[in-house]
Amino acid sequence: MKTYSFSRRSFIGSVGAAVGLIGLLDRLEAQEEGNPAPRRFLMIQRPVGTIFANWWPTGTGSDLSTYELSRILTPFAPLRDRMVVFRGLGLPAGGSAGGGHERGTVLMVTGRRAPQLYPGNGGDDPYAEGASVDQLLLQSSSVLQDVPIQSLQLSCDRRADTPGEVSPRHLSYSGPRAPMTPYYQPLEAYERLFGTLMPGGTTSDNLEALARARAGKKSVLDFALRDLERMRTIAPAGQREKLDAYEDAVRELERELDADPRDPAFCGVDQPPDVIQVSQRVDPYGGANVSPERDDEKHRRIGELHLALVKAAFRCDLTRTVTFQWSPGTNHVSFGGMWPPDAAVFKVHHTTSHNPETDDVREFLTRIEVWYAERAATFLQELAETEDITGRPILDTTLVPYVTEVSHGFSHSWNDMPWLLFGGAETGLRGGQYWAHSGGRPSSATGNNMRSTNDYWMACGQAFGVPDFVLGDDETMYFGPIDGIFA
Amino acid sequence: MSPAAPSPGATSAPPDLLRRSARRPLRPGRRRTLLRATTELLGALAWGFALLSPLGCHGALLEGDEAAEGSRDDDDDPNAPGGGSCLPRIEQALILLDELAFVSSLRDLLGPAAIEGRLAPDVYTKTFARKGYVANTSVVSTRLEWALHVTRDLPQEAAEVTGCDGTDATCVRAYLEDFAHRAFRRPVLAEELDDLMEVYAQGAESSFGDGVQLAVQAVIVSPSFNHRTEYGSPRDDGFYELTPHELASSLSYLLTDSLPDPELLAAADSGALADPEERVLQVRRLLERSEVRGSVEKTLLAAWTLGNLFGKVKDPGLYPEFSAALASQMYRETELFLEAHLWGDEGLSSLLTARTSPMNAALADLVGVPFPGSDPTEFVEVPLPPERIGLLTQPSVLATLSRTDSTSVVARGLFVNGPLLCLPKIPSPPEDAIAEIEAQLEHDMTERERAEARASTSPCNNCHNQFDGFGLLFETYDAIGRYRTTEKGVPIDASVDFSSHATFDGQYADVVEFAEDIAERPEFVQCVTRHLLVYGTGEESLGRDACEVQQASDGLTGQSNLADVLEAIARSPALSLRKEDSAP
Repeated sequence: MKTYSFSRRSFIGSVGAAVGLIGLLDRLEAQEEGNPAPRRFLMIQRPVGTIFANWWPTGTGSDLSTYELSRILTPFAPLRDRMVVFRGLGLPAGGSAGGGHERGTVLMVTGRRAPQLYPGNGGDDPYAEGASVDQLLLQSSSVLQDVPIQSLQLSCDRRADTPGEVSPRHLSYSGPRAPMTPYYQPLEAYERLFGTLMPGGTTSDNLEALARARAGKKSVLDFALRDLERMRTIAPAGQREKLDAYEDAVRELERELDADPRDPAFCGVDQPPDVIQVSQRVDPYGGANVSPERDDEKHRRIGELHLALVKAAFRCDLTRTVTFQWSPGTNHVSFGGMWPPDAAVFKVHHTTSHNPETDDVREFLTRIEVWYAERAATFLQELAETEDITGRPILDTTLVPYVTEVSHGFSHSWNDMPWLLFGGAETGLRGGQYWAHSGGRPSSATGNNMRSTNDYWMACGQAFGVPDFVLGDDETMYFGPIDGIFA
Repeated sequence: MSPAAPSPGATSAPPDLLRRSARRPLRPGRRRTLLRATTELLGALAWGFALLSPLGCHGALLEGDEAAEGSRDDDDDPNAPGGGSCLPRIEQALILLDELAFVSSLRDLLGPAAIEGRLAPDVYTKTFARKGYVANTSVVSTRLEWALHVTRDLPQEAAEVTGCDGTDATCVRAYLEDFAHRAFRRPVLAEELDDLMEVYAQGAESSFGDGVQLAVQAVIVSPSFNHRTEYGSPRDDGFYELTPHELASSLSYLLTDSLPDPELLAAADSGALADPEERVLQVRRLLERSEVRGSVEKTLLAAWTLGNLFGKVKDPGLYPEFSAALASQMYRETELFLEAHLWGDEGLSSLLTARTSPMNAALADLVGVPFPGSDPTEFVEVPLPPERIGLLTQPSVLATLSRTDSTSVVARGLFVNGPLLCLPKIPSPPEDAIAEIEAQLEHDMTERERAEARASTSPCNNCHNQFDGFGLLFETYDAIGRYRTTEKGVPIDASVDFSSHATFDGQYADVVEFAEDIAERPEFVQCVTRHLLVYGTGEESLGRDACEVQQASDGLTGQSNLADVLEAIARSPALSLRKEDSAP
């Protein structure tokens, strides 16, 4: 294990003599003295599954270094030794209701049967009946906790097939039917992370203004707590849980205000992100799923701004639990330069995946998968090259599931889910591995003798000191953590 | 604490409606009806598809639930409200305002300009199942962000907004009392006001305006503003009657998605709302405002899922005239149509039977009638051709309930079965059955041939026989609502015989005959009542057969208009009576 090359003096020098930062330094020093080091969880989702022929690497055995990477996996080549490829994972979607992408998203993140649908919303939008894996890990793992912002949800596109749909738009749930709404606007996420610290950083004037703003917010939250106490006295017993939920939220926001202020520039974000016109509703597009305008460039921009915030937040230890969603599984982004017969034709991702499965359509979908893989690989490389404030590369302590809600978009299949898992040395992930399902009772809720994706998540508990982590209603949904993935 | 002033009417005698039925002895057979309705309530199943089991059609699965039976020991009590025929089953509840209600309330408190610049929820979909909605960090954090946003100009405008000059704490206290009274929709306790003044004082250390800003933010983030209660006051019979202030909120969020206006709040303050007839008067008064009627119209459009038209994609090779603009115009036609037919003397049946509809030139062209107006963008009342009638043949309905490149017998059938008539719910199809039937359906089959294949295949037919027939009636309208007489070169037969149907009968040559018939049936009006009662109570599991809905719609017919329905709901015990919360 690397010793921390962290110097209190140089750190203070780099951020200015900011009184509020001393506490953060103390905390980091405590970590040096043997308290558990932070771990981080970053779920990266991309929509619409994959094209198998261009996904699976070729080779035999479990040593990924002997494999030839596929077109879609090639961008991940520099990360090969910190990556596991999974073959034979099935989403336990049986016994649940809802559309392919909708149900897939809920099952992917909660692992619990979802038999009931929201009224309206296109008749295919299931309720999530449990908390999501990120929130469950956070609740049970001390190495994810003790940060100013317990978790952060980000998404790069809000458009879904109907205006009110819930399931495709959310990766995080605090509990049954309690979605955690992602930030679409990077600036709003920035403000949550860094508060109202003015440009110029931790000058004493700025810190004073920040302290005033925080004191104001605290008094606002304090009023809410007093109100809650009064409401508690008249609430019927069965309703108090709802007040508890409100109180938990208020207290969590209060703790955010207690944190030492971080200078965004020091954390790696020089300027607040640009305001982006995030698309809200689907504009009907025309023939053969062709859109008059491409919006992949905007899509990419939003993604990059969000990811820059994730890096900054990890770097300064503002949060350790993040879900990052490129788009709902019914992705309405139209991509330019991707349609093989004509690069100037801008086709919409999801709807094109339901065109007849021609070579052109397969190639188009492959190129988009490569596009998403390149974005993820570039970012993971950045995490590998960026040191956090303890002086070690962020990726060392970060576990990154790379997931999607279906395997084969054309048929909405949930067999052979094209999921990866990345993680640095401290996570214990045994990277450079090709894992294929061979033994172990498959889940009855998955098809074709697949190993449940819940078993993948249960294995992830090992990276966070929760070896007995369980995801799913019961043993029809999982078998047990996949062995051999973690040291 | 007691958030509400003592409510004079809270323990008064039950409304006449209940007292009459209280004398009615329990008839044999009623118990079974009640049990079915109870289990339906407990089942909390979604509209459209919901997973019951492959055997779940005909509602057969809902019978004989032992647990529910066990909880119904008290239903023979002749002194109970409803005489055992319809005991209150909706429990006391704390209801978190959804984002639409939260933002609409902010708009009414602070003015529309305060809302601008932040994305507000749209009104094309509304939440009908609010009981399970709970707060988490994401919700409260969003509310805090809204509070900061809507008060951004308050420091500069505080003197104007409050009418105080900043030197007089009594004046500020009076402003905050009034503001919190409106926001909490009930009288404010002295203790609460003390706390609020503390918040003010903290901000006022910087400036008067900062103090006002902070106190207003505190109100907006408070749980009292973000929830409404349905606790009620205990009655002698053990049930709970909602307080006048709770009733004001129930009615107001039902009708406007926002907090009570000053007159409704005053009627709560005086206790007058405890009287069902006062509630009716308030409903009538509110419905005089076009924006209130508009809000209820949007609720019905959402119940019918027509907001889903936004986002519908159509194959331009087949439907070159379809565009975002045309979709908006289709929706607009239906909005104007509802405005014209929901509230008048001709009654709700005219929604289904009207022979004219407001159209612009593009829609008239789509429907195939001459456009009589001079300005092609103007909506003009146009006589319908003989193959069209009322709401059901409007392009908005037909296009929403279609696929990209073809009609959808299933979507249209489920629409009639669910949102339109509230017939028994249909479970989701089992996975293996889907794969099996998909293998059988040939690409070049007509929609009727596909429906026939489903009808002759088990287990598909168990459920599809319940609703495919409804969908087939619409086959003479394509995926954007154009009339057609052939599909894939085959003449379309849109006639359907329901004589072997489990819960519906009739024989129809086409959708025109069907619309004329169901307009006179009780199911349609009961189903509309159901939607609004569910919207008002947040109790999504109430079915049309539920005794609460039956009781509220008793006496309503196709000649009743939507105001009659809302007045019936305002009088209904389902709105005002609650059962004790069953603590876990």
